[in-house]
Amino acid sequence: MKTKTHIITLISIALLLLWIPASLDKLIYFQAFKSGILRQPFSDTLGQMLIYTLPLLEIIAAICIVNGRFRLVGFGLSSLLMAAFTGYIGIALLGAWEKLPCGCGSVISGMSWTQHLWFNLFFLALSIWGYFLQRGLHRSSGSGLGAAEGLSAKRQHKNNLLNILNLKR
Amino acid sequence: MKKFILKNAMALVALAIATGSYTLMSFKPALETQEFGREIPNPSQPDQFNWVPLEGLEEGVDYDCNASDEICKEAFESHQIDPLTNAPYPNETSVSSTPGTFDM
Repeated sequence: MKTKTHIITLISIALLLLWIPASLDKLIYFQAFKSGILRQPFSDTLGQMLIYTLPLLEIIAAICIVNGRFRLVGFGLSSLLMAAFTGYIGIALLGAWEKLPCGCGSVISGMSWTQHLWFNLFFLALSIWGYFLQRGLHRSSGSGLGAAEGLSAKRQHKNNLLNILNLKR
Repeated sequence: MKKFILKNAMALVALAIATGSYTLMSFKPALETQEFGREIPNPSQPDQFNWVPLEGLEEGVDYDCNASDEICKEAFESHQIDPLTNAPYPNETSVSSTPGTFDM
């Protein structure tokens, strides 16, 4: 249980290290990001939509991961985003487009498409692993009395004692 | 204080990451977009062009065109057809495909 919690914390930090700089980069250099997205081989309508939704979704994922109550949503959203990015790169590597501009920021900008694919696969695996670990943690804590209702440990202990007393009677 | 730090550890980590990445970003130039999958030659670096110049072809020197030269054929044909409409230019005297000279 404790090991699981530690692993979840480490995965959370790794994903925060991915999403926070990625979203900040998009917001700070918004014009560069915008032109990068519009040069992608998909329609301008989808591009315009992605320009605003991508940074927003990345920020939401980061906020959810920070907040323990929504961490499961954060891992789920991270998995979805990473799956979409990885799929896109996979299609690009299969040669669907003659050329593909990469509007990537920070460390990622120096990577080739293959390196980019491995990088994304690693974070995709991490997000999925985190999601299942967090779900397991939710379920195991949910089976305990009152944990799902968000009761304090002291009140849970009191409830446990009352239940034992009731059973004895 | 210790309790506060422990309770909000993840939020503090996120804040530290945000501050760190913002500081790093302020040091580097604007996002550089890259073109993967195809090398695009940079005109400012002529070495990147893989030119195979024609023999005797120099800038500012008239090139004697022979009808047998592929490059001359292409040049004459492209001069006679409007690339937008794929039709011959109406107000221009048509360029004959006979050998002649043109300025490169």
